[in-house]
Amino acid sequence: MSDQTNPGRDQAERMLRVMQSQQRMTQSRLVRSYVVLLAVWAAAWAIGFGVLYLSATPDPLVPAAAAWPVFAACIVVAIVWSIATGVRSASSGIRGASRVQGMLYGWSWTMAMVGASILLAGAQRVGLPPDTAAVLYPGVFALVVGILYLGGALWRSLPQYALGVVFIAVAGIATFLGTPVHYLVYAVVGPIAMLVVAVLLGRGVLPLEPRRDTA
Amino acid sequence: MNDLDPVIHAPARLRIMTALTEALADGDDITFPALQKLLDMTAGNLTTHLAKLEAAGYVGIAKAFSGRKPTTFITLTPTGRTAFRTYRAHLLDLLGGSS
Repeated sequence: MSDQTNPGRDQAERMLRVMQSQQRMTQSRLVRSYVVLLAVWAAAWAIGFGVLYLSATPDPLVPAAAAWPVFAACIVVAIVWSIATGVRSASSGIRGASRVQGMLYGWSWTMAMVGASILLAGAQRVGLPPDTAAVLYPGVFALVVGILYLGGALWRSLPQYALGVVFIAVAGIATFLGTPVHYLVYAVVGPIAMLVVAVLLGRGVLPLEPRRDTA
Repeated sequence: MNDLDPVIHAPARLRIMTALTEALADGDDITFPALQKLLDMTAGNLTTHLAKLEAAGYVGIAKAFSGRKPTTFITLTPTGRTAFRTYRAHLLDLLGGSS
């Protein structure tokens, strides 16, 4: 059976390995900047919310006046990194439907975050007490992040969808636990979920999208 | 018909077809340098194999200007996508159908 046109098992196995290793390599290169971005956000949450927690305990290790600027700096760095990643991916060399999809989804994040900020600022303006605001602000943003990740459903990205579910749960649980434990929940659970997804994606274990050839 | 598609059945071309299938959605195309980076292939090698894939109708190659710079764009044709799927199914078949 094994002639030139009907290759033997060895050769077929070799070609399968070539295909599988190229699949993993392509996936891991395509998602590399996204993986780094997830790691940056995980660090921003861990440091930012960690510092807030340490400043809000009954016996604070960090003065509140120092904690808030650190938190703000972490979030600003992560936002700038997100924008840079978006700009770079627009010049990744791939044109067409998936680039339009990525661009619109990127704008969804910007609009949702700006919208949430305006809503919360409005609530403060009409008299939201500071104690409530301290719980509501991170809760609303974590909820919005979770909902945006559910958008992964549109391209059947299970890792993104799972992150969405975790963030929505985290927002609810943290808000119920209240100050200052909610900061600790955001500092620990969010980053762990992001890092787990980042590592699985980066190693090519989990594709960001299902393999297109089997779709 | 138990023959594997000879156009795809060469490591370099199998890698090109795999990378294009993974990276491109229907209607997408990719620049030559970006594809080269995904594959870690020399420009000469990639050009040679792309020409063979183009002759079989599996990829489309178009030159266009992005700004003032002439750029080569590569796309996977529907025929190419189908051929890759067939090749893959065939290969798995030969190995007993396990993925």
